[in-house]
Amino acid sequence: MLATSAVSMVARQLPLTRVPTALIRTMPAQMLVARRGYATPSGPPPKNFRLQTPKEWDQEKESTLDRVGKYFLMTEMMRGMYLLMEQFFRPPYTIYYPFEKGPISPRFRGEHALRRYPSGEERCIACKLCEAICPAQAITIEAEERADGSRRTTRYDIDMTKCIYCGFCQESCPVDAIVESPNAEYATETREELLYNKEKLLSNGDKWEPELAAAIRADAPYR
Amino acid sequence: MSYITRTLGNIRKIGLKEYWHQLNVRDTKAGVLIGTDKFGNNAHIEPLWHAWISYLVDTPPPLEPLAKMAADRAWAPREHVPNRTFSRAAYKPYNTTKDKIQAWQPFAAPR
Repeated sequence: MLATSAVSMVARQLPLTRVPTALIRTMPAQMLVARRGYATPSGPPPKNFRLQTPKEWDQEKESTLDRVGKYFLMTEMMRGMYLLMEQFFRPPYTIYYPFEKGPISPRFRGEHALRRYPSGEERCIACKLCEAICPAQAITIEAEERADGSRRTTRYDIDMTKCIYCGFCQESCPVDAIVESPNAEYATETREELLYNKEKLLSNGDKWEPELAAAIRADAPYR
Repeated sequence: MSYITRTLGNIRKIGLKEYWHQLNVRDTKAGVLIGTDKFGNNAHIEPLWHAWISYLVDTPPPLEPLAKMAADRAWAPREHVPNRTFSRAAYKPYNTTKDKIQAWQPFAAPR
């Protein structure tokens, strides 16, 4: 069954055989009829393409004795139970989650974080590109001149309940300040806890900086 | 329970006591202990261990040069901060800007 369906798949992929245009011009109707296949434009389907109709009770060749023997010996039951036993001895398909984790790409887009320069100065310069590009409008920024005359944010709020984790903010950031860390395990009790402000994002960045560095290092050859 | 051969082989490697402990996980596992973090491999783990256990990096944190670089930062957090939800220390959003309006203070002139 598998082989025949594979054959039919291959047949479907084959290009149409080109009919010379001169032939079509001379006898169009005949050519069209001749070219029409059953299910595919390239001719009749391969053998055993259609499934056989299942056999009715009066078409079966099995003797009554055989059928009675099957019924009383419960062979089908045994086959079913053997199938179950096979599954029982297979290794589990699942992972034991909090202790084992699935693979995560370095480009994984999870919880947001605001990064700092190695000196400890915050990177964000309040250019508001992320706020402008955010399709969910989850980012709110307010900026003010700081005491030393540099332009920084006074408010950097991300509504994590609005965020769709598209990664546009980290793509748009000219100073690599806002990033999406590989952390996806920040479930909270209340929705309120997901309305992140600047302090929370900066502390996220402080905490996850080693892992962010690892993700950037892994992705660096492709940038 | 997995293959009988795998189960028996792992029991031979880890011993019956650890097998009894691992029945929690419903499968026997044998491996090399790479290291434990400060919390004895809890469910919430430190960032680089999280990267390692999620197959994001190949080298475990004790051998990872980034771990030392991260520890050398002056602004590195002193201790690991777990997710504090479901506790009184849970994060609560607050305003980081000054108020833009000043509420009117009622003032009664002396009579």
